[in-house]
Amino acid sequence: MILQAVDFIQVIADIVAAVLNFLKQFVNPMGLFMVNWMEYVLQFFPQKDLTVYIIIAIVIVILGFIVNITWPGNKKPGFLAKAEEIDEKIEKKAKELDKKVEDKAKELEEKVEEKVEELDAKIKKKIKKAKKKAKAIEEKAEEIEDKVEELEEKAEELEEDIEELEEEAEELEEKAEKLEEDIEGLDEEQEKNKEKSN
Amino acid sequence: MGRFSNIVKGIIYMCVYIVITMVIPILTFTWVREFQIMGVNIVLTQHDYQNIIFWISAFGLLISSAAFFNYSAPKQSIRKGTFALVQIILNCLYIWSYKFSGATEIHFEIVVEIASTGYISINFQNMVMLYMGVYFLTIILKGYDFFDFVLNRKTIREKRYKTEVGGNDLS
Repeated sequence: MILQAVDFIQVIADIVAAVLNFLKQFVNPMGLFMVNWMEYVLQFFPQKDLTVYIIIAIVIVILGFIVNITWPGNKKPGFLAKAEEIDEKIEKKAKELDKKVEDKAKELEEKVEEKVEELDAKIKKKIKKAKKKAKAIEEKAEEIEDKVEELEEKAEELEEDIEELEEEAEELEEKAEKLEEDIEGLDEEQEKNKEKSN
Repeated sequence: MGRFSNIVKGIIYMCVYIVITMVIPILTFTWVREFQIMGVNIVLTQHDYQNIIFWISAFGLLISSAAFFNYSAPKQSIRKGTFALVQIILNCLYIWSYKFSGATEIHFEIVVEIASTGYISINFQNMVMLYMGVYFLTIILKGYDFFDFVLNRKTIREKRYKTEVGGNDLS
């Protein structure tokens, strides 16, 4: 069993070795560089006293606490705060200007509304007057029409009378002619009678 | 994030790093020190056991404290960048400590009823070298992050606080 386990480990080791051999040419120079500087740096590390590391770790953790409490990273930096102040000022000014514009617009609207109301009232008055005048004119027109009608009727009547009169005149003329003729006849008869009597 | 949440986050990560860099390796090496397979005692003949535990504890403490500082710092801050770099460098030293303390060359002795019948030797040195190469790249990355945080500090802070210079459009 142990031998089988050793064989298995040997297979894994062979695979790992193959991978390492392939990567060796690329990664090993980097690893060597790393080893060189690390060996140099590790000379300065204490090799038996663990308290130094404990102290360093505690100092780093306390520093971390202090730094995070003092600068949690949610406070805006100076230049951004200034930019924000300027933004706020601009916003305030914009709001003030908006208010002023709104007030002015309201004033103007009120004035315009007043003017419109005045004009409406005037127009309504004028319309009323015009309507009254129109009514009066209509009434006069109607009166005139009535009068015209009356006059026309009278004219017609007169025409009829004239016609009657003309007819009568004609009749009278005819009668007069007849009478003249009669007179002439009578004259002739008188002359005849005179002649006869003579 | 507020100061309280920052500190809590830092403490959580510190605890995680304490477990990963100290508790698990110490328990592993203590367990490996003397264990049995199929009734056969395999004794870790590592004379520098104390040495391994010392370096694990030393760098574990430093890494955990650096992790506290790193993870409690605001995102993309210079102090986060600095301590992330410090933490990576300490990680390298921690990994390297396995090598120079002898932990990468573990020598097991197979003991059957007092008498030694053989040994198993496991050498992790090449693996550690490979790991160092990977860490070298990580250090470069963290260094780039650090310089990025320093050079673009203003932009990062503007983004963090979402302030538009020149006022907000009210329309």
